[in-house]
Amino acid sequence: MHFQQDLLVNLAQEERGQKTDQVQENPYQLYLAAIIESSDDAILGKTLDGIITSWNPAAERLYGYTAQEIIGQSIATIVPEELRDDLASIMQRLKDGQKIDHYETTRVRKDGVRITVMITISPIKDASGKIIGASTTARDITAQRKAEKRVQFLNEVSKVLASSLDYQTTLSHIARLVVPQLADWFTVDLVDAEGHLELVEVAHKDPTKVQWAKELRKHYLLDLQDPSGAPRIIRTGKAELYAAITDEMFVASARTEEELALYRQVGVRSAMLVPLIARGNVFGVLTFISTKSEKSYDTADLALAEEISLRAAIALDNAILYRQAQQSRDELHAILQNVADGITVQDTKETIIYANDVAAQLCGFSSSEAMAVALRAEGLTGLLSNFIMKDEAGNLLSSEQLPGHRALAGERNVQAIVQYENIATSQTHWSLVKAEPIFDEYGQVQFAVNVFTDITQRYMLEQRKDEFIRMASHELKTPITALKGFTNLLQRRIARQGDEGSLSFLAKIDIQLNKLTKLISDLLDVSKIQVGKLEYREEYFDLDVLAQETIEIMQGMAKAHHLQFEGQKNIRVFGDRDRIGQVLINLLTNAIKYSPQADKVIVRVSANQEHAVLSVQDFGIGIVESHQEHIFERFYQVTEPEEKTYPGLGIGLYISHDIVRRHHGQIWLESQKGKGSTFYVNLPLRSSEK
Amino acid sequence: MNVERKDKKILVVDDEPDILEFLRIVLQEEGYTVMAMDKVDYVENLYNSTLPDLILLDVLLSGKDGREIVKQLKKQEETKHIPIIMLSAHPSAEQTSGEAGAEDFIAKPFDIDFLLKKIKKYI
Repeated sequence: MHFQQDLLVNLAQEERGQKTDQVQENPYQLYLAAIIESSDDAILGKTLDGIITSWNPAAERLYGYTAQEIIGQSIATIVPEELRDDLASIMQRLKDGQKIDHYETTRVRKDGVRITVMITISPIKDASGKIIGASTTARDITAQRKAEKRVQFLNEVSKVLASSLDYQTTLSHIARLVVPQLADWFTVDLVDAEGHLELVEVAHKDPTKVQWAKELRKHYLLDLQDPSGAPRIIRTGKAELYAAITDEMFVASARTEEELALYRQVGVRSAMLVPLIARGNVFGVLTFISTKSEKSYDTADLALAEEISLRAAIALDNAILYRQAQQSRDELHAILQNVADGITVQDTKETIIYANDVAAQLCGFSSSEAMAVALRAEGLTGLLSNFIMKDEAGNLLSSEQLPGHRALAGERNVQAIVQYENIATSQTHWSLVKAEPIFDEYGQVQFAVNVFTDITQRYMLEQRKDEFIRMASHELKTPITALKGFTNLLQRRIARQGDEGSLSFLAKIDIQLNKLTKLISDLLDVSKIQVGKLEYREEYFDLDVLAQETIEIMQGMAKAHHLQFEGQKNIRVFGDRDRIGQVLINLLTNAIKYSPQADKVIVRVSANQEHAVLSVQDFGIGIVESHQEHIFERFYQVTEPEEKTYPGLGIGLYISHDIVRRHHGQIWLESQKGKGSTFYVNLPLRSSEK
Repeated sequence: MNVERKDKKILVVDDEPDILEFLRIVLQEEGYTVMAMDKVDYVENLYNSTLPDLILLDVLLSGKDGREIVKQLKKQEETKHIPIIMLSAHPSAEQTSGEAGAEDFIAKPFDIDFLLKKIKKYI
C-alpha cells in the first residue's frame, strides 16, 4: 500500500508535467498511471491542510471541476457547508495514521447538485514514513442510494396503504408519504359520478397553503376537455413529466391574468402528473409539484411516482369500494330497521350475523346491539336456552326443527308458526317465521334469512275464536238433544196412531236435526284441528266394508243419484274407522251436491303394494284448475258465480284433508270443469310406528 | 201401550228440564220407573230403599262435574254396583267418563232407540 502511495505522488506529479527521471524510466509506474487515468472511481490527492494536489478524470466527471480548476483549491470546495466541520476531524484521524474506509457522505458538484458518495481516504507517506497528505477514492453511489431509498419507500407506501380500508385515512396516508419527501405540493383528483375532476386531497408542508389551494379549486372546476394538465392525463391514461418549468411556460399556457398570477404563486418548477388506474379504468390523477429549482424531477422520479400511483390506485379503489359497500350496508340496515318484522341472518354455522331491532326485541333485548353483545357472550344455543319453543299444536320444537336450521339445510320457502315462551318472564309470543336459504354461485347454502312476524295478538284472537266455537258447539247441541228427543217421542206416539203423513214429516225433522248436528260437529272438528286436538282411535278395519256401509246409509238420503260401488274385497287398512268414514261421507256429500244433473256417483276401492286407494267420482260441474290447489284449505270456497249458489261452509274438505294426513295418507283430486271430479284418498296398508 | 213393567228403576240426572222430560216420558213408556232429577244433591244422598238400578248422568251439571260424582258413587259400597251411563255434548268426555268409572257413554244428541238399546245392555 505504501508503495502505491509513493507511486501515486510521483505519477501525479508526472501527470501535471512535473517529470522526474525516476518516473520516466519505470514502466510499472506508467502502468499505474494508466489505471488511475482510466478508473471509474474518482481518485484525488490532497495535503494535510486539505489542498487538492491531484485529480483524475473520473473526479472531473464526478465533481464537475477540471483538474486545472481545482488543483490548489481546498477540498472544502466540494464539501457541503454543514459537513465542513467533519473535515477537520477526518484530517486529524489521517494525521494519526488512520485510514477512513467506506465512508458514506455527501459532496457538492460544481453545478451545485448534491451527490452521495462512498469514499476511502488513505494517508500518503513519504519515504521516511511521515504522513504528507491523503488520497481519496470516491464512488458515486447517488443512484444506488436513490434506488435503495425508492425500494424502501415503496415498501413503506405499500405497508401504510394496506393498513386501512378507510377512504379518508388512505388519502391522508398517501399525502403524508409524498409530502415533503417527494414533492412540495401534492394533489389527488378523482373523477366523480358526473365526470368532473374533484380535488379530494391537497398537501403541502404549510397548512395555510393547503387551505388556500382548497379555496382556489372550489372556484376552479377543471374542464375535462382541457387539452393540458390533469384532464389530459385522464383522457390519455399516460403519466407526464415536466422536468423544468419556466416562467415563459406559465405565460404561454395561462389563459387569464389570474391564472398566470396563480401559477407564479404556486411556484411550480418541476411537475409530474400520474394517472390513477384500477380495473382498467382511469379514475384520477396524482400531481407531484416541486417548487425548488434544484430539485427537478427526472425519469427515475417519474418511475417512482408511477409505482406510488399503482399502489395508491389499488388502495383508493379498495377504499372506495369498501365505502360503497358500507353505505349499502348502512342503507339496508336503515331499511330493515324500519320494517315491522324481525329479520335475522344466519351463516352456515347458524351464528346470527345480523339482527334488526325488531328481531332483538322479540328475543327480549332492547336493541340489536344488546342482542349482539349477548350473542357474543353466550352464542345462539345460549340465547335459545332462554326460551321454550313449540309448534302450533303445542309440541316441543327441537333446534333442528327451527325454520332457520331447515333453511340452512337447503329447504326453500320454509314457513312455520312458532311459539316462544320466555322462561324468565313466562311471556309467550307467537311468530310466523319464514326462512329462506341464500345460495352462492356454486349452489351451496351460504346464509339463511329469517323473517319473524309477531302474530301473538292475532293468534290469541284465533284461540279465543276457536274456544268460542268449541263452547258454541256444545251449547248448540243441548237444545238439539231436546228437539230430537221430542221428535222421537212424537214419532213413537204417532206410529201407534198410524198417521203415516205426520210420521213422514217427523222423519224429515229428524233428518234435518241430524244434518244440523253434523254441521256443528264439523265446526267443532275444525277448531280442534287448528290446535292439533282432533281425536283419533286407530285399529285395523276393512275399507271395502266401510265403503259399502257408508254407501248404504247415504243412499237413503240421495234420491236422485245411484251410488255405485266398484272394487276389491278384503282391503285391510289401519286407522280410525269413524274418521275415515267421515271422510267418505264428506266426499259423497260433495259428489251428490255438486252434480245435480247427473244420476250416479261411483265409489272405488283398490289396493297396491303399499296403499289402499279410495276414490269418489261424480259427473257434475267440476272444479276449475286455479281453485284445485286451494280446495283443501280451511274455509275455502270456490268463489265462481255458479259455485256460490251451492250451500256449504267450506270445511268438509279441510277436515278430510287433516284426517287423511293424520293417517299418513294423501288426498287429491282430478277434475275438469263441466265434466266432473274424482277425489282420491290413499291410505297406508300398514300402521307406521313413528 | 207397552205394559211390560220391568220393575227397574232408572235415575236420570240432567240440568236441562226439557231433556229430563222427554227422557222420563220415553222411559216410562218403556215400562221403567223413572226418577228424574235436575239437581245433583239427591245423588249424593242416596240410601238403600231408593237405590236405582241404572243411572243416566250428564257430565256437565251446573256447579258439579258429573265425573266427580261417578267416582264418588263407585267408591261407596252401597252404590258401586249401579251401572252408570254418562251423557254429554262433548265427545271427548267419553274417555274421561270411562276413566272415572262409568260403564258407558252416549254423545248428545242421540237417537232414542240407540239409548234404549244401551239401557237394555245393563238392565
